[in-house]
Amino acid sequence: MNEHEDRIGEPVEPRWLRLAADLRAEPSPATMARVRARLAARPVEPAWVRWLGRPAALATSVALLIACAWAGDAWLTASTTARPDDAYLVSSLLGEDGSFGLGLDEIEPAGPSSPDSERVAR
Amino acid sequence: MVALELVLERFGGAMATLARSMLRDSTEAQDVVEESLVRVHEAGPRFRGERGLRTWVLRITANLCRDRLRRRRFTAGSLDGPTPIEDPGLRFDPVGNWDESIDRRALAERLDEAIAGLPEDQREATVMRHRLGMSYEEMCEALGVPLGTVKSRLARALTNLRRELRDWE
Repeated sequence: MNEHEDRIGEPVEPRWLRLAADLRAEPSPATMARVRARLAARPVEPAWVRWLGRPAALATSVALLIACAWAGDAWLTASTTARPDDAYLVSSLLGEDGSFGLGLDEIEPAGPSSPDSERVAR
Repeated sequence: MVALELVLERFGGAMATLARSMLRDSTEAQDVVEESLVRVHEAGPRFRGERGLRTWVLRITANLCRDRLRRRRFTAGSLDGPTPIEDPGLRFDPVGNWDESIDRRALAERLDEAIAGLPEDQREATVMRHRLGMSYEEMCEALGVPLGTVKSRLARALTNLRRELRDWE
């Protein structure tokens, strides 16, 4: 154990360290008058400007950011879910059987088929 | 304003002692005391009393002193730290008993010079603890650092002071 440490490991303070308290200072007697003058000279800023300097302003900004992000996400999601309605409309117009309203059964082959396509038909 | 006068009356001495010990310049220290009181006035409505009033006021003063020392470093353009100014404007006011055969004032002034030569954080801790008589808890709150940091700063300061004043041991 260090010679300058006591049993719980904290340094033992030498007696001369008490002399540190012998030197002290007092503020000037004109301090209060000067403080009043400083306060009077300060421009009075609006309450909302003072509020901006407070931590609450940061918290509010973050909350607004989160709210905006959430609202934007909700709006985008709503737009995406609206899209199938349009898709249904197009499908109805075109026909769900893939014929696109052309009536495939009634269509006759336009011309002589090739041997390959006859084999496929069979 | 009445509250501010009471703050000055009760803590003005501690504020001035801290500022002068840290800055070693009477004019600048007085300016810091005044600015601290202005801040106290402005921040007063937000004071919740979770820490003691003295601790809160001294924290404001300590922060302003640190700002001044930082600014001084920038203007000096040196990384070696500020050179202590010779006239700190501290008044000799003996506390407690001492051996009358020893020139107490000379010793106190030599100790003050040694404290002035400490690094900023150690000087701040030493002044708060040994000149202002603050408790560890008050120091933690005033400095905004954990107890271990306060103790290590004080221990390092003491080691440096012992080295500087080794002929006193």
